[in-house]
Amino acid sequence: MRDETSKQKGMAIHNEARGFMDTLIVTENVSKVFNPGMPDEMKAITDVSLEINKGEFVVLKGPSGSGKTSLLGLIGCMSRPTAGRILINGRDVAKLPERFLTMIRRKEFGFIFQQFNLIKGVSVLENVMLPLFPTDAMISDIKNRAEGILEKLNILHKKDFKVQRLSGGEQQRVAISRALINEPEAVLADEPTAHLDTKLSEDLIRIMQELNQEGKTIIIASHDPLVYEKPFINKLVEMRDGIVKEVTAR
Amino acid sequence: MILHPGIISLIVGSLVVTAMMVYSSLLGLTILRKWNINSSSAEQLALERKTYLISTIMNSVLGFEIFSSFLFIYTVEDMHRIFVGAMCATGSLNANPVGWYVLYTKIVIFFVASVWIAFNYIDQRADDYPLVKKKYAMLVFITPIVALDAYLQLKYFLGLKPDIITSCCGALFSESGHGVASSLSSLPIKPMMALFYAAIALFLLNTFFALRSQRPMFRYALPLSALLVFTVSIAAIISFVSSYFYEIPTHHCPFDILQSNYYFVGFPLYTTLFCGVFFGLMTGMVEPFKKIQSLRDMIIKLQKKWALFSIILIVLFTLIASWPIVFSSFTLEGYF
Amino acid sequence: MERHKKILEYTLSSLFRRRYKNLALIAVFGIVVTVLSSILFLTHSLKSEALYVLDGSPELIVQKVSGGRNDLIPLDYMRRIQVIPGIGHVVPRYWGYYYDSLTGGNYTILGIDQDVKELKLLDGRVPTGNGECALGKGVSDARFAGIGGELVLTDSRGMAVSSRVVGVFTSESDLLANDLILINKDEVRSLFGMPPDKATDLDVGVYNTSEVSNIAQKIKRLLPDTRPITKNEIIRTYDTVFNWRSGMILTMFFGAIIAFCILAWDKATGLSADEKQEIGILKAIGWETSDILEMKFWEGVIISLTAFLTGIIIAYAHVYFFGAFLLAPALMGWSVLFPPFRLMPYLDLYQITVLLFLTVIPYVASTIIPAWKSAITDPDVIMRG
Repeated sequence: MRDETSKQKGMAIHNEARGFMDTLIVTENVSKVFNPGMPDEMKAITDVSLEINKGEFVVLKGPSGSGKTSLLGLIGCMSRPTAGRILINGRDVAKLPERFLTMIRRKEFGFIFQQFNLIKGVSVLENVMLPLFPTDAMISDIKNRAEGILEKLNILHKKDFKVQRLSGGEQQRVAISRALINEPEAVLADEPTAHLDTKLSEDLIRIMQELNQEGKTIIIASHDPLVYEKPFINKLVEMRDGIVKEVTAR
Repeated sequence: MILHPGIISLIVGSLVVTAMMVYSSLLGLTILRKWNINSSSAEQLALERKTYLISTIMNSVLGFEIFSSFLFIYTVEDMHRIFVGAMCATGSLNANPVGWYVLYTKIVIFFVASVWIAFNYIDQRADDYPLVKKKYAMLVFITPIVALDAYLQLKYFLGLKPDIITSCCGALFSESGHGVASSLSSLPIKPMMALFYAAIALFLLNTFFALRSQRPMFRYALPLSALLVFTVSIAAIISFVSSYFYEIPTHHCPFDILQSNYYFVGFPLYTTLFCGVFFGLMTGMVEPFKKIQSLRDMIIKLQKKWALFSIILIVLFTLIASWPIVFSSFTLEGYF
Repeated sequence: MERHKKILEYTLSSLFRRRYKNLALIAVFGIVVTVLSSILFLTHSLKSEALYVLDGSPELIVQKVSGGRNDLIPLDYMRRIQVIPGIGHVVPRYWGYYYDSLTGGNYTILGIDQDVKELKLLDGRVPTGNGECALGKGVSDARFAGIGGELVLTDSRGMAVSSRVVGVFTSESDLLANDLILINKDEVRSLFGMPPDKATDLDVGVYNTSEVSNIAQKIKRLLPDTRPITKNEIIRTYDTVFNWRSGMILTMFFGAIIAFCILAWDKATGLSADEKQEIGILKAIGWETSDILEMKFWEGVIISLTAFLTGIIIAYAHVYFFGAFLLAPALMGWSVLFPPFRLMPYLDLYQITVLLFLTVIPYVASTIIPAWKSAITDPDVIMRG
């Protein structure tokens, strides 16, 4: 317990020294239980308290079943915790109705999924634009923004291709572009290197690093050493069996 | 019973809608009992998801009721030849007077369902669902009205016998008849016109002040003046507006203006009236909800929007109603 | 507003991506609509035509009844009816049915005199004297007798009577004219062997149409063995019969409508894995439940409206260009040997509204709950899976 407190204190001083003033995400004693009271009840996360500041590069490390994916989902406002509080920019989102959760998610977060989850049969450009379809933005504005992002990631030339015709690396860049369309505060990635070879993995991590240097908060859940052994990580959160074992800050 | 395609559709449709309303009410009751916004349990989440279902059903119910109101009027119009003495929809309705109550019920449902949908809209935009209890309690009251509509409609159609001799609007709305309708038709024109335009002016003034003034009393008064303007307008339509469209002083039927030979002018006329009254009504009805913190700012904005809509729509209504009075060469003045 | 536009656009492209499945659905729906609308179009047309015809018929027809059956009416009765106040004209009518063993059809033979009011749908002219006739299109075709041709009929004594065809009713003419043969009044009498002091029935006109029922009653009291029939009664009877007939068939068709709703429900509930995943992805990337519900709503509307319009167009062609060959026997109750005729297209808003009620609305309604079930997918479902 004392180690925890001193570690957190150390973290706070560290952050101050780095000049980070804004806390983006705070979780307080958050738990998530799937199918409660039923035979297939599963405790994904138990009593997790965590702080993530703006501009940090955070990695949630742990084997499968450790709860890191569930934690990522909770932080990214994709689901609601069974207990505890989650503060995004100081606002408790744990009990918000779906509509408001989605609004916050749309404003703050961009998501990259393990399987990319691009919609087959739909073009690259449209896939990237989709997250903003249910908003009142003009389609031409969204299109311009999307093309800008695609260009930055060197995939603009394939914007009208159907996504299933792209290579793994190209799909990866489309998935990243989609996560950036709403100009989020933070980019969350769930096991992004799971299906990639070393080169593509390094490419992805490099892109993440560049985004971080531009000021975006990055949170990656991964059990790939290529990811969690990188020196520029600000915060390494080790998880096992749904609990946070250790938080290392750099 | 008369086996007419329109009748079959209406009866089956109303039964289906009643079933949907009962289902919604039962769901609503569950929500009323178990709702707890502060809980994160799976049951609470399931309840929240159910609210979407009820919203969708209620939107469909409203859409259906509006549609079926027009279908009802058209069916009744289509059937008029079966009844001796009937020359239009009014005659068919007179063949079994329950028919008039069906119409009244449909009008009530329109307003009540629209109000519910508006409340639902507001409730969903606050992050703590402040109106949940009121909303679903209200649902339990709307359901009997929908069921009543289905029942009355069935009773009306079942009670129609082809050999009934009925009177048409010429008799119903004639000066020599008895009853409200003929009293309305036989009112002297000039005072009626004066009353109509006075009511409109009063309503517009009320809405204008509700929009501009800080004092809540104007907004509280709005539902009353909305209902007043509604009643007076319907009376005016029967009394003289319709006659101006028909250019026949004895033709007071409020339904024929929905027909093609009058260029369907009844549609914009009634639409602007009903919607204008509705928005006026809503502006006033949400005033008490300003006490709820999470709703306050949103309601202030919505009230402004709705009051504006109401003004525009009622002005349009007045223009449409006044058009033949001003522009056609026909005049009723010599007749009364 | 932008939002709705974009969601609609996405729905369209999504439907297109699964076009084969959706086309099948539209086809099934379309067939249901086609059958239903054929029924409604046909009955409405027949009804409208009948009413149109009846509009020009006499206010009051007086027939003599003998032993419960129609009998020829003595011309003497005319004098007695004429004195009733309110009566305008009393004119005897000479007409009857003729069974043509050659073609197996029944024709209506109508006797006219010189001052016939309106025969605007006649090519050629009205017969002026004996030995001339004007034919309905159906008779003309069946007997291969056009203008200038000859029509041979058999009279009550078995003798052949020949007349020259001087006019043929146009094919756009109404039901009644199709089987009509117009000849001179006197020729009707000799054809049917009618005694000189009798007529088939009497055409009675009244000055004030709202007094018709009263006058009919007076006639009945005065001449107890007559049956006065008012135009309104005929109209009401036709109206009721057509309503009844179409209502009956619709009721029979109810089974089909219900089966169709079950199909719609099943299709909506049984989403393919692909569709489920797509919704999961949309929820994950920021679409709300209400957005998905809206998308499902547009889906339902697009499919049902497309099917509806297609169904109506096909039904229209079926009824008005192909004479409703599939439905006619059931609805019109005539023998198949009867000469065909062309129906006049009558299409009005009311019919369309009823059709919408019977088809599009049940479809959208039966997809509400399945749509909702798919829309409430948790956003994190695709992360877990």
